[in-house]
Amino acid sequence: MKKIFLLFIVLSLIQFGCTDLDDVLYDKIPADEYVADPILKMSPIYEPMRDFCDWGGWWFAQELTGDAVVCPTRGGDWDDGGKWRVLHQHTWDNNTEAINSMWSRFYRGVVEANKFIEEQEVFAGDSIVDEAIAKALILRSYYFYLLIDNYKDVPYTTQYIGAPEQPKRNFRKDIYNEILKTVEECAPMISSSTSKTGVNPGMVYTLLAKLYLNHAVYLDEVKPEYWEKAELACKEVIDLGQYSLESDPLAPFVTNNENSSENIWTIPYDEDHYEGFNLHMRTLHYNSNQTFEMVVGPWNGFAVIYDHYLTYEDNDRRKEGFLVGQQYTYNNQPIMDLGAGGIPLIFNPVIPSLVMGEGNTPEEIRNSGARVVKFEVKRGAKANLSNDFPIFRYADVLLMKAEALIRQGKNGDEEVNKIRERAGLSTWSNVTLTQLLAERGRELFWEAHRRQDLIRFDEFNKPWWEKQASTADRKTFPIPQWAIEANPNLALPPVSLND
Amino acid sequence: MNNTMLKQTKYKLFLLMMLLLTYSSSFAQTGEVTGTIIDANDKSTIPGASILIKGTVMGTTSDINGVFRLSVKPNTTLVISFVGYKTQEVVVQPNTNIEVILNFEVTALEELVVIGYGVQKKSDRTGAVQSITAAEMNSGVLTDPIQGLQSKIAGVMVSKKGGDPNSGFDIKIRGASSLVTNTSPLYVIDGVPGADPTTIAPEDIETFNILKDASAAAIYGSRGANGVVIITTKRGTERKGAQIDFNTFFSLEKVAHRLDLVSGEDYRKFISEYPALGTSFIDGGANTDWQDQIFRTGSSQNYNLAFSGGDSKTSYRASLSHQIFNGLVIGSDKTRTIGRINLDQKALNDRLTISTGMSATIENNNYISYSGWGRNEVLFQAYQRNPTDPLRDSAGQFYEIERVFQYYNPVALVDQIHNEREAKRYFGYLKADYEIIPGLFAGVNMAYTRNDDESFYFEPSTMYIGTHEGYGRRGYYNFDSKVLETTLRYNTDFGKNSIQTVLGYSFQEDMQDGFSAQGRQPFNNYTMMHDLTLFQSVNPGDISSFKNTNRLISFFARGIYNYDSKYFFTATLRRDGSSKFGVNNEWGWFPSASLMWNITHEQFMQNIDFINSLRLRVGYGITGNQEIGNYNDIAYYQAAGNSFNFETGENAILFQYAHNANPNLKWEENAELNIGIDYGFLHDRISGSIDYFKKNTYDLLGNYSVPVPPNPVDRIWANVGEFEVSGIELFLQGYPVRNNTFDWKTSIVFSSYKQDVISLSNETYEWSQMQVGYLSGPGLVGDLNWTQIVRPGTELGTWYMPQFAGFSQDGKFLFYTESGGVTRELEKAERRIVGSAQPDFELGWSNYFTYKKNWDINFTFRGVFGHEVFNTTRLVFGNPIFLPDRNVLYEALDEYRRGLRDNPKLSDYYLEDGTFVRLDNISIGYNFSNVRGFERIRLYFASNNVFTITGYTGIDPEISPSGLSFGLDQYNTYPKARTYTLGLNITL
Repeated sequence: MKKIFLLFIVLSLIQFGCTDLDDVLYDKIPADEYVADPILKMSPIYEPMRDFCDWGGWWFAQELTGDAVVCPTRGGDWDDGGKWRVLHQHTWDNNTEAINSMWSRFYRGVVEANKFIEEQEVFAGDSIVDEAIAKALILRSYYFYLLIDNYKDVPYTTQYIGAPEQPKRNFRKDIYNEILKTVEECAPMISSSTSKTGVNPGMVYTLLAKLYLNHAVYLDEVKPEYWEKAELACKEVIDLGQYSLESDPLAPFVTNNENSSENIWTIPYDEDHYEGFNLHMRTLHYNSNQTFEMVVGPWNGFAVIYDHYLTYEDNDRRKEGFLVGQQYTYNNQPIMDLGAGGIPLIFNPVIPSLVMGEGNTPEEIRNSGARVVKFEVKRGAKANLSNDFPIFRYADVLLMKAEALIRQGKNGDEEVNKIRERAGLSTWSNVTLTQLLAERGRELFWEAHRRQDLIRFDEFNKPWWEKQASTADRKTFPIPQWAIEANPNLALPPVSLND
Repeated sequence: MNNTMLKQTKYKLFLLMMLLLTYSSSFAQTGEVTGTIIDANDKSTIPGASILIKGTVMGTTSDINGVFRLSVKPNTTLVISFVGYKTQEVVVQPNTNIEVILNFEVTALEELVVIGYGVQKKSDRTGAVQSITAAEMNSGVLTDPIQGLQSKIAGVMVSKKGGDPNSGFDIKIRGASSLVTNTSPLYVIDGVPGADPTTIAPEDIETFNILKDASAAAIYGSRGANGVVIITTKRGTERKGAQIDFNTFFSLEKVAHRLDLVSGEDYRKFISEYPALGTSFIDGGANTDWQDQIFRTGSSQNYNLAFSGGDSKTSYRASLSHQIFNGLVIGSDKTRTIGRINLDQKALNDRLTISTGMSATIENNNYISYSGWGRNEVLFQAYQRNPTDPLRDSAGQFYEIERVFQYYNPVALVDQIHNEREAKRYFGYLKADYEIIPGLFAGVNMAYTRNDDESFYFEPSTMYIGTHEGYGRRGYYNFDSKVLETTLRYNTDFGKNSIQTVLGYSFQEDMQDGFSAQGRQPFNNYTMMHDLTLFQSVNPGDISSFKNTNRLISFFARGIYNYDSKYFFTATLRRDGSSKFGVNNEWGWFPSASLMWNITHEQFMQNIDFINSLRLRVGYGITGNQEIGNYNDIAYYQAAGNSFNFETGENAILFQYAHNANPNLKWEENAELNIGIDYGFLHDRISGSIDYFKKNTYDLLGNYSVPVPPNPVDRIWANVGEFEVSGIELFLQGYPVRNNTFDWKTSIVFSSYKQDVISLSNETYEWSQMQVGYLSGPGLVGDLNWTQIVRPGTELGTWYMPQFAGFSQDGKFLFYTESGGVTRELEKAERRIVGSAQPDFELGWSNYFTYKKNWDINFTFRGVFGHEVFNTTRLVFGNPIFLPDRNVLYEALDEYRRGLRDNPKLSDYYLEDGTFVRLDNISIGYNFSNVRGFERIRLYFASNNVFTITGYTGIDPEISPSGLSFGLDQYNTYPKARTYTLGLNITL
């Protein structure tokens, strides 16, 4: 008996003496088992764009720093430590949230593009792969265009494996020349396509037009031949024959705008499958949900700066994109603002001040400022909208062509008037740059163009509403504090590309 | 009178005289007996021993020389007793002098402590091990058995912020701390490591044994770094007949401390004094105390029935408990039912012992949210709600109004949101122990744990104001654990030497998996989440599931040697391997060694009578913490949400590279030195221990940022950081009064430790400092609102914030700048170290009294000293800027009058001293003695959290010091209860 027990113990020790410690994965895929087709593998390159209109900070940084959109402090709401106020007053620093967020999104895109390019280069020679690589190069150039547009001198990283761990910054003009070259080289390789979300010829030429048109900002010098190149790039877009102006100025922004003839390159938001577009929550009033029978309550904040609102003529059809005056429910009953004491909900486009609180009436605090429904808010809308957000739009291309012509000393009336007529306005003749800037401000309002336009026309530092004149260095955002802490070389002066 | 009657009367008279005579003769025979009480072991005299006349309460105690005097009749039996000794009975005669020799109570001398894979005599300990018996546990309402340990053991800090019955206790041994890993100790239940202590009814616990230092905990290797709590449940014993225990209590609870929020009337009055506020004031027309609306009188009930018995071969114990806790805030409650069976069987001439224990727990919880300032958070919504708003409108519906962003009726929230969980915990083990040859034992222990959680959540579409989507969710979460351990133990004595050895192997595999489904826009609210087919909006990602596993394999050995019971030496070695560690570091060694010198057994100590025990201990050990999460060492892809294929225009799922692989990933390691002294004076009338320890924790796990490229992702888990903790623990126990009517036992527990972050970086990875403790609240969003700093040279919980410098003329906060000036801008203020959320020391004082053998009284004080708490609730609600929409504290009205006109801004103006002393529990019990058929009937009254002395103005100055940042009181403190309990303990 004794011996049997002893044997049992020893045997169990041996049998159960398992020493296998390998990880067993059930709900995750081990890196070496993951295979995806090249086209699907491009998705991560696009993914950073999803955040652009929200926490990615890009939209806030382009519109709230301009003269058209503002986020006032409404009593106890929206002060948030001043992170919105500083954008309006040009008093941001390198800890401001919107500035911090953009950097990581842009570089995420660059890194994913570099990773994809290096992975696929192994298969180069195949036409699908070659086009995919060209698309990735164009996307990378787009991210660098955003980087130099916002942060001026940044590291130009084009390698994935073997890239320096702590890269130094490069000069904006060098990066500009590189990306210009890249896009020019890759443009012919993009086959024609009706896609409005992937890289397509229309997008490529519009990007080229942007690059050429803004060259003076990026190169710190004017190259007159670039105006012509900008004009030619716009012509390429027009000659594709795929795009045309819609007859209704708000048509490109409706909920189901994925087939709009006016949109060239969009972020394909969807309320359920691809969330990220919630600007309507930021601008609409708490009770505006009754107007649209929304299933969520908006946050009541963003509004149109009154001076900008005044630049619209009374019969401008684009004013249908604003909400002013008495608000009504979906069934046309006037809405009462119970939270303000049961007064009628009337949006007054006049905003008393940037910071409203003690001394202001509840009406002023809650209901001042015209609100924006340029992007349609459908009946039953949720916290995220399904409207696709156009990064590049045909109307913009027309205005860019007009601008390129005017800058060359030629006449740009034809294109400008197409826009004005569509908006139900009278035509102009001998359009000046000042008039063009103002028309861009009205047409491209709320589409994240304002900052770039104001800088190009050298108006960005002028004072407006509650903003003092700002210094020239404000045309560039500072490199985020956290990025410098992770890579101290970002604090050093930029070096040329081959260093 | 006739002759018969005369005879009878004479007879009666004679009897009377005889009686009187005998009576007076007995008086005459009463005399004094004197005696000396002597210790059998060393022949010393014993003062304070109790000498009672048997069957009465008359008697005396021995004096300082061990001498007593007592008036007795002939043939009186005296009962002589003293703590720690066997009670003796002796028959005495008057006018005699006797000597009574008392022997040590066997169990007292050989009181055992459980040390992990074995037991040891208390007096033979070489490591810092402390134990608490069931009788010494805290009394009153225990929502979790861990609460029984609070303030009983030096160095063991049991804390709970607030009083939510659904939230657990935080237990930290010796300031265990880490960056991201779990700092809870390892629980070993009936020899099974890793079991859940909340599945045991407090009445089923026999002892708690705590292994505090590394030399004791090293036998648990990579899981012993935070200390080990060994729980032993009650088992049957050999006895005649069965023992039946029945315990029950019922208690009522009230909120101990509320916020001083303004009432409706006072609110109106204040607004009327200030027209500037009046312009924007909307009067709701009512007078509502919102704290009253959400608080209620809580209650708890407990029923426990156990029966046990056994003979020399078999013993059993079975118990069933049912507990109901209704929390102080409406909508929160917990119900728990626990069943447990322990069986022991001996066979083969008592050489084989088979034991088994099985338990099942079913728990049902109803939760409310209160963690922040969101729309669902009941506490914040009640605090901010304007007291002029009524509870219901004229139609009887809950009154809602959108005064400000996210402003909802808290009673409506509780009424409408359904948040429930059903948890089942199954636990079972089978042990076999066989004595192969005398002194050599082989053992096998197999255990299985299964935890199944089912959760239910629903928000109706009629919630909030206007329309709401509605939301429903059901989820399952399962965990199971299989443990197999085999041991070989050999004990032997030869000459003055004694050896105990253990050799063992342990295998454990854990698995977690879960499933959940959610939807929005229900067609009908009645069925809530019970019928998920009624939800219109179900998208990809709304149905999800997961599964992961991990394994731990160990080999361990321990040897305990002692020479002549004077010199003790213990050495342990454990080799642990875990699948959580990277491929290059899968196995680790965890050694320890400790020495103990029993000074009182030395020759030179024999004549020092008043010291009956003095032991010096030194130990050093290496333990590990492997709670670093599964799969952090390897590279994998995981689904990361919905995405869109931009090229094809179709929906897609995004796959993300989770984190960089780290083949060097390993456990966090602790190296600890412990020096201790155990003492006992005057026959253990005073006893205790003093311990000093120094512990270095290195290879702390952190999530470090790495550049991308060359890495695929910008984060990696790596072992880098280093902490140090050192401290002192004192334990003192005494019997100040011992006589036949009144017994008083008291114990004091003191612990203090100092913690230091040594480093967060190494050659490869760097992190200069972490900004933690972010505030959140209305107007407080942003990057500037962090309150604590973690950096080399400070301890965790260091408050690092701008220093308040007064108010400006126009009522703005002013802060000191680096140059010594003041500024009103938070960005320009200089941040300084202004305090620490770690306490300087903790003190516990317990007292146990028995009066006339029937009454027992005990009470425990607990104090935590020197920690600062940041009162975010006061930062927000003490600021009048939110008038006239939100409610505020009365303090805010004063601030307004003084001129404060600024948004809430972070500074040490709101940092408060959290020092407190609390009468944690008091209980008074009466034992009905000599009731036929009942071994014990005890009726008691107890109260928990009787009173608190503190300067802190918030709800509860107690914090749970766990995690990277702690000590923030952000309207997320569930009020603590003062409980009044009536209970009954019956043993048949």
